[in-house]
Amino acid sequence: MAEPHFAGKYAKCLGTGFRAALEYRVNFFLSVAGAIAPVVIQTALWIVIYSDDPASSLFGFTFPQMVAYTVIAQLVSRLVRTGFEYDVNADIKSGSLDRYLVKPIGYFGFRLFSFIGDKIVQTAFMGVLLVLAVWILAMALGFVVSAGAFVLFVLSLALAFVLNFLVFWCVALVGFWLTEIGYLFEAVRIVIIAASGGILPLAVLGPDASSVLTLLPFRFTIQFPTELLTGRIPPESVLGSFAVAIFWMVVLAALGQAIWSRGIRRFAAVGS
Amino acid sequence: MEYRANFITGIMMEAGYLLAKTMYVIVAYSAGKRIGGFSPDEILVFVGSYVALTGFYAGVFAMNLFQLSRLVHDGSFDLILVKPVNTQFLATFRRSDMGAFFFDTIAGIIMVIVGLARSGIAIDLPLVLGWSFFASAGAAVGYALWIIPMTLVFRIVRADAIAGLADTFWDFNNVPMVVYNRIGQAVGVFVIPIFVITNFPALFALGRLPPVWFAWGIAAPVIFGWIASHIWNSAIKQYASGGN
Repeated sequence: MAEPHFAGKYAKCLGTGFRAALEYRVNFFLSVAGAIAPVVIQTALWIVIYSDDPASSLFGFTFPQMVAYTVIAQLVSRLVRTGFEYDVNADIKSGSLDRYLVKPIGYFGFRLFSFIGDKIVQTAFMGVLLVLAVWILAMALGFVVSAGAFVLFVLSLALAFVLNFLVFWCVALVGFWLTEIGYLFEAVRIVIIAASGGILPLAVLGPDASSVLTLLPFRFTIQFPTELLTGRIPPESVLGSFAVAIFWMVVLAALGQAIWSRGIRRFAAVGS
Repeated sequence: MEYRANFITGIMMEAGYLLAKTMYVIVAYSAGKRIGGFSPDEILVFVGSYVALTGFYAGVFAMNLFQLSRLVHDGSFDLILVKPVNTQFLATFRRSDMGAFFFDTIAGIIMVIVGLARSGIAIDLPLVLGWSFFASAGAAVGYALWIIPMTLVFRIVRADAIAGLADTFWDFNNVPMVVYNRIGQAVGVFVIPIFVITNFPALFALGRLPPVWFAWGIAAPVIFGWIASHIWNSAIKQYASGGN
């Protein structure tokens, strides 16, 4: 039997992720519903904080900008969220990683394309929610999204998916050395969400902290796409920002490969 | 404590969540203005009370509530039914995460103490007893509020989604309830008394708990505890053993 074409193998992985996402769409909708609470909480907070001077700027945000950031960042945060790290950890712990090592398909490629397939479905659903959110923001606060900003947002979102995958791929591979890792994933996840601007804009943390966090890859998973859509990135900075994001993708991919190489040698030595 | 790695990583997870919660405190201090009539130091007391009670929620009964669906689904709930212990007690308190409980409780209490000290409020025995009482009452109300929707598991079996959604509403206490409008506050205090859980201890400590709310803070755990128990006993009659 002829071996499947290289692209065909990973297209099947993409299809697997796509079908899984359709099957677990209720979980995704509940995750999105969970975004309602922080949006309500933060909007109420900002209304009170800006109440004495609605036209003022705080942390570099006007009130409409802050509310728009709050809503869109929450939706983006739900969209780029991963979960495959638990499956990777289960494969390592149970030894079923064995079967992927003998298949004509790389485990990294399998996980990456399954993840992308999963995100295609979620992006379709989220696209509808995002349009609705932008419409409500436009009606309530005069928030406007340009066509150019939308295109850049979509491009940055694709980068965000891959970046977030690479970050959690590196974290998941720690499973080669640690046996009980579930809580660690959650700890890393919440810290990364905070460092990505997924809870509050990084500017809230002050100029020093936000300067440091701006250099790290995390902001490109949530804050960067959000600020592109809300028009807060100066046009002359867009290309440079994309370049930095791609740089981090290369670094994280190399780091992941290095960890995989060491981890798989340990896995093979220890056995299932 | 048998799984020490789990204990340690559990604490790391709670530390991550604590970081997320304190971001709202950072907003208060960074904004440099009073929020709903409360200074940033007083906001710290609210968030500290929230963190302390999250220790109870996350460490004592959250995992039991999330696992209830699985117990019913695979029939393990039968083993709880046959034991000579109150079923509700056993099902909802059988497991605990002491790492999360102690970490959050201690961190929260420290935040409350720092906030009160910076506000110039003397921490005396009546304040400690009063805060502890309303924190305990809030924990009881929180327990009742989370039990009620989870009883759906006896009817629809897979209620993981409900537990997940209920979990997200805990976060409404991450900020003082004064940021919400009057209708929201009224609903959150008297109808679905989620704000009683963490706001009342803080308001008492700050000396800003109105008499009507003071009385409600005493009555609410009794009323909602009775309602939750009644609904649990009624719902458990719907239980039909699942599993193989």
